Amino acid sequence: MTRALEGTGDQRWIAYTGPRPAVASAILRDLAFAAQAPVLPDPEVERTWAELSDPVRAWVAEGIDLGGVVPTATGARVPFERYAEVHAVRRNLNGIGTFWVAEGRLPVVESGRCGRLEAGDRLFTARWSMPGYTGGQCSGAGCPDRLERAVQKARSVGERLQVTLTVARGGDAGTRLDIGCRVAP
Amino acid sequence: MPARAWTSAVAWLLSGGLAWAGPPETPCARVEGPVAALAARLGSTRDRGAFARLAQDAAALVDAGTPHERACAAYTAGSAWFFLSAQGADRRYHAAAAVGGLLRAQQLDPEGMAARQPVSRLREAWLRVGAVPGWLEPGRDPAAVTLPAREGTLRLAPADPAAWKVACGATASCDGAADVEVALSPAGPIALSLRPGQYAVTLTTPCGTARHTTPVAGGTLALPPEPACPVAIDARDGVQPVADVQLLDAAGRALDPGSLRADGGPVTVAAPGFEPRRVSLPTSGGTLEVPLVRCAVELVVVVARGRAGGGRRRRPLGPATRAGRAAPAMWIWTR
Repeated sequence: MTRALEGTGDQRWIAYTGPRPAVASAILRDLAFAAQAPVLPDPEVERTWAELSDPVRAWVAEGIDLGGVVPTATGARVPFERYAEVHAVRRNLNGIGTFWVAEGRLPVVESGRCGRLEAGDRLFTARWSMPGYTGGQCSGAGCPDRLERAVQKARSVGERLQVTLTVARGGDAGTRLDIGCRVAP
Repeated sequence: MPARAWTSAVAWLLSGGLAWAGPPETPCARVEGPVAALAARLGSTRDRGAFARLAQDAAALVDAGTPHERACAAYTAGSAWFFLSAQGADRRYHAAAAVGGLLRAQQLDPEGMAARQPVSRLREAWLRVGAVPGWLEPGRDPAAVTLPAREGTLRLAPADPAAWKVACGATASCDGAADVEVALSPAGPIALSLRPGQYAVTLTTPCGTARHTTPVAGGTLALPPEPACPVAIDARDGVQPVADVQLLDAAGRALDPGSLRADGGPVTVAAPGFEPRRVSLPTSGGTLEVPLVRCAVELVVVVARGRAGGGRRRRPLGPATRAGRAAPAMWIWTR
């Protein structure tokens, strides 16, 4: 599988050539994680992809918009501007788990440390409370950021954080579960 | 060191030795028994109604047990009030009660109260008390204030209790709710975290009570002038107490015996039939025994001849009077 820069001016694209499954996989990885149009395979992207569990890869793949990708006789080509899109990012929440977050999507669990939280769970909402302090709640893509701030606050004041996560297991439309845990400071 | 010894040392560290080597996380970290059970109940409940009961139960244990148990009880009581202060109309009242409990714990266990959780709870409770005109300045973090080493009890209160009562919600329960009482220690100074502001400081010692208003902004707390100790005068004639004793100040004015203080000037002790005596009052207070000396007596024997009352007066008998003294005399008439 090879990549080549083609076109001029505003009309530029990366042409992927090779067996169709390899081309599809490379386009997926590049659109998901490449910081710029990749003429060569990016080792960082390759490593990130290799480390993902299957449920998270499925979540990443679901979020890739293949609009503008043109199949060719030898593979496919992807317009330059498609690589400028915002990528999913990883959020590590101490005591709760590691999440992948993307704009407009339910965050997905990469690894869970909160109760029965499992890789691939989609986070709908979170509620938290801390004795003596104001609690909070969040939903959707912004949830891990807010939850992270709550965890940091709890650590800074030496309090235990009581967290309840509502997740979907088995995709966005999967079974809903309430999972609770206490995060030590 | 043999490998086996290393292994056992590591095992000891992992089994809790390491945890004990560091500072405790709260004043309750090293406490067991009923007080620890109360602290555990507080940690597991979410019921606001239970917080007030737990605070009262814990406060009842503050004066009993070891210093660590007492500190844990005060911390549990303060924490329960702190939890209540998170919301509600009475949050400033609850925050003030929390400050009282947490400061008590700080006095009893300064090390345990230096950990992140107690420091944060005390700071947050202080901030929830808010700005109070004439007492607390707005938005200031608590500062470390040192109470000097000495005997006595200190009461710290809002300099303007009326303003505090208004801020607290103007209910009767607000009266005194922000007052903090601290038993001073002659063994060493006490460090407390106090919000900067104006405080009414009342010092009570075995000799009495003194009060003043002072600004607090960290450093050593200015105590009111030492209360002068009361002095009692015990005038005696040998071993017998003397009756009808009169106390006079330097200007000769009569003094109330119950009002004598160690910082008063010299006092003249007088009684009928006794020589007046001027004494200085002891600075430590207490009872001052004053032996009085009976007045000199001049006896005059008069031998009367002829009709009654018509006798002749003779020179006085008895001890000679001292020069310049108008000593009372007894005249004896003879027939």
